[in-house]
Order: sequence, then C-alpha cells, then structure tokens
Amino acid sequence: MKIRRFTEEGLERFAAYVSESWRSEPPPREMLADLALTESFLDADIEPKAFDSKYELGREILTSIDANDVAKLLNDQAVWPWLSLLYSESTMPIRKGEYFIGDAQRHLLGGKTSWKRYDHYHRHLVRGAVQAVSQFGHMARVILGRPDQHTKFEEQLMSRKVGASFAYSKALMEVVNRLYWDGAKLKPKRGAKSTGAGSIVRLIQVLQQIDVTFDVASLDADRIYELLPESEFKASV
Amino acid sequence: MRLNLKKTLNWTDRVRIPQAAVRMELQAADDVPEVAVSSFGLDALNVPHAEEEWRSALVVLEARTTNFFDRAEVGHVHEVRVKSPIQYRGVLKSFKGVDGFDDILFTVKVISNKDGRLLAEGKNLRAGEEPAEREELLPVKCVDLGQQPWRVSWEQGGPVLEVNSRLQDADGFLARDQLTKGVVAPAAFRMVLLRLAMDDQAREDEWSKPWQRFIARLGSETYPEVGEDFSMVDEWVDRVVGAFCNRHAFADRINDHLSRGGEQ
Repeated sequence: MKIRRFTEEGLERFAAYVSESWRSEPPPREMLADLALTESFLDADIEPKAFDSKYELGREILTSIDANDVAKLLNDQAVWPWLSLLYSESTMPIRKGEYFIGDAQRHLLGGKTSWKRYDHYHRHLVRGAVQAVSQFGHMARVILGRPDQHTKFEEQLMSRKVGASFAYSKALMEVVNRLYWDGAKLKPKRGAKSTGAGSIVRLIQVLQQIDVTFDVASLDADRIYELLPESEFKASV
Repeated sequence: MRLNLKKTLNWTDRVRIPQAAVRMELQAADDVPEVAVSSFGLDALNVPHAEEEWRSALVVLEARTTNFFDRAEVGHVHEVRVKSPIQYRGVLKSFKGVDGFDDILFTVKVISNKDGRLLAEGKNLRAGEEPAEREELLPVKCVDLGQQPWRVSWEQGGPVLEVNSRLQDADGFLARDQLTKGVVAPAAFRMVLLRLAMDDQAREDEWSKPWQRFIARLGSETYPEVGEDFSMVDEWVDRVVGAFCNRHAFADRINDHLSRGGEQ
C-alpha cells in the first residue's frame, strides 16, 4: 500500500485507541486504508512487517521512499501515527496476552495543532527511528533498541535539541559509537546506559560543560574524544 | 577523579552578542523560511581576543525550534563584517513545511579557527523585531549576589539587571527558558516602572528616554503625577506591566514550557 496519513477524524479515532497503556483488543488496522480516516501522502509502497530492532524499522521506511521525500516525511505530523499503526506488530507488542501501547506520545505527534501536547518528536517510536537512521546511518544502531522501546541513549542525545546541537552532530555520534558500541556482540556495551562514571548520562553532562567553552557541533570526533576526561571515558577503551 | 568544569567560569573571554545588536528578518518562500541577516552585531562588540584570531574566526548561524534544527557556516569575521546591506541570506531547509515560523530561535556563534573555542555567542535571538524594540532597556550583568538570584540595581546609566554569577550559565539566565523569563522579566520591569512613576528626576535622566518610548509603544502615554497616592501609581504600573505581559504572552509561554515537562 502507499504511505498515507490520518485525517483529523482518523487522528481522533487512533488517539482514543492509544489513550490506554494496555489493550485487549487489537490495534485498529482496518483504519489504515479507510478513505474517511486517511488521505494520500507519499507515492511510496510500504507493507506491514515486524522488526526486531528500531534500526531496521527506520531503514525499512527510508529505503521505501525517495531520498528527496525524507524532509517532507520528517516534517509532517499526521503520517507518523499512521506509520505507528502500520507497524503495530512491532510498536504495540503482545505481552501477557495484551497489547502494550505505553504512553500515547510513543504513537501520536503534534505541533502547533490541537495535538501540541504530543510534541516530543524524539519519543515517537517510528519517527525517532527514521530521524536517527536518516541522520546517522549505521551509527544509529548504538542508540536504538527494540521497536517498542525508547532507550536512554535516545532520551539523552536526541532530546538535547534546544540550546545544544548534540542531536545533530555526526562527530558526536561517532564518539558515542567509539565509547559504547560492542562490535563483537553487536549491541551497546554493558554499563553504557547506567548513570555512573563513563555512562551516556555522564557523557552528556561533560559535553554540556565543554559546550560552554567550545562549539561542540564544529569539533570532529577526534577532538571531542580528546576533550573527554581520561580516567572516566578512556580507561576501558 | 571526575573533571568537573564550572559552567560559571568564562575561560575564553567569550563575548555575549546581545539581541539589540543583531538585525535579521525571516520570510516564507514556498513553505520554507528564508533568513536575511543585515547585521550580526560583530562591530558593536568589545572584543578582548587577538585581532588575527578574531578576524579569522568562523561565524555560524543556528536556527532551532523544539524539534527542528538548521546550521549554516556564514563565513569568517573579516569577510562577514564588510558585507552590506545583507551579511547573510539562507534558506532553512530543515524547516520546510513546518507549521509556523514564529517559534524559531537563532544562535550566532563566532568560533576560533585555532581550536574551536567560542569567542562570541548570541543565544535565543529572534528575527523580525523592529530595531527600536530591540533597544537594550535593561542591560544584564553577572555579579556575585550571595544567595540572591537576581536584582535590579541602579547605576548612573540607569537600571541594570544583576544576575548572580554563582548561578549556572549566569550569562544566559534570562534566555534559559520561558519559565525563568516569564517570572523574572515582568518583576524587573515593574521595579523600573515604579522608579519612573515616583521619581520625577529619573524621568529627566537620559536612560529613561528609551523606556518612555517603549512604554508609549505599549499604549501608555502619560506617567501618573508624582505625589499621587499609591493606588494611582499601582494602577498605572499594573496597566503597563499588563500590556508588557500581553505582548509577550508570558503566562501562555510558561504553561507551554511546563507542559513540555520543562524541556523547551
């Protein structure tokens, strides 16, 4: 099917479904092609599929659309709830016999509209995946977890959008990979997501201090790495 | 041992670029905002850096809202400052199709070519305000105030907003978030208005002239008579503060800030 977006009525109906964290009834996938609840958006073919990782989910969407349409996709709001429903097998997994929805902002997106309370774009499961993969390519693997998960890496890095440009820095993402990606096991290193010394939380705290003096966004990965405290971040590398 | 740099120390003599020094306009062209900067305010700065380092430093313009970001390298200082009448014009491609451009905030950075240090920075700048509206009515100064977060002090040149230098990111205090701005700005504004309302000498001082122009733009032409009972003074001050707050929608912005969980 082609990529569509919800109409206002479609958003209302979908919002009602995701208003509860758990549902016994399945996601309303019959809405996806309902002409009264959705409208055309992109001329790109896409099919529901299940994914083990948010990274693969992001890649799937990006390889399905024209590269020139990425900005249009990211800047729209009503397409993301539709995509969350399309991939609901991944974004609303069954646990203990029920569908886990979680917080509604994982599936809804707003802006200056009446949906503005859903304005944490980085917390939308599908948009977060696409944003990270489109910006960082394979380097996004370290920050992305399961499709129904919003990792500590995402919260720490991708929410620093105001006042700091960390969320858009490829050099910083290279440093994050250098510090926290276990290439042998193909997953983040143990302890990376903690709050202790050398963790992603500490990295952000240190970078915020460094950002007062240096323009972190213009530093290359080697220079950022050089500025990090030796004993805390480099001892185990 | 953890490296724990203090945010309040300005090790690089980083200079603040005030809103009043920057002139920029924002226009929509085919659903994409275009920014035109007629002045980055570089010539108005009192720069302590070596001349050669300053001239060769890179000027960067960042634009952001809560969810979108764009960054452009404008050029080196020696190239930028001679351009006229427009020092930079650029399209903010990341904002294509985004709903409304009113919320876009800009940051101007001047970055040393030697080591990436910030030599100057202007944060939370807005485009499109009339130059007269951007007179710096209340200069900000960082001073050790003990446990007092801020105060309005009175110098020969007029009122100064003193921010406690012990606070984290003291020089960005007012621009930090809408909650801080909404709580502090009306209160500071009220203090100055009270002085103007009750001290006829203050009204004659040079510093009060831009204040009088600003008060007039808010729709209030006349001061209360000096010697009026306090209720008249209170009423006048309340009216002008109310107009100031209406213009900036402080309560709405505070609520917006709080609804985002404190993230701006």
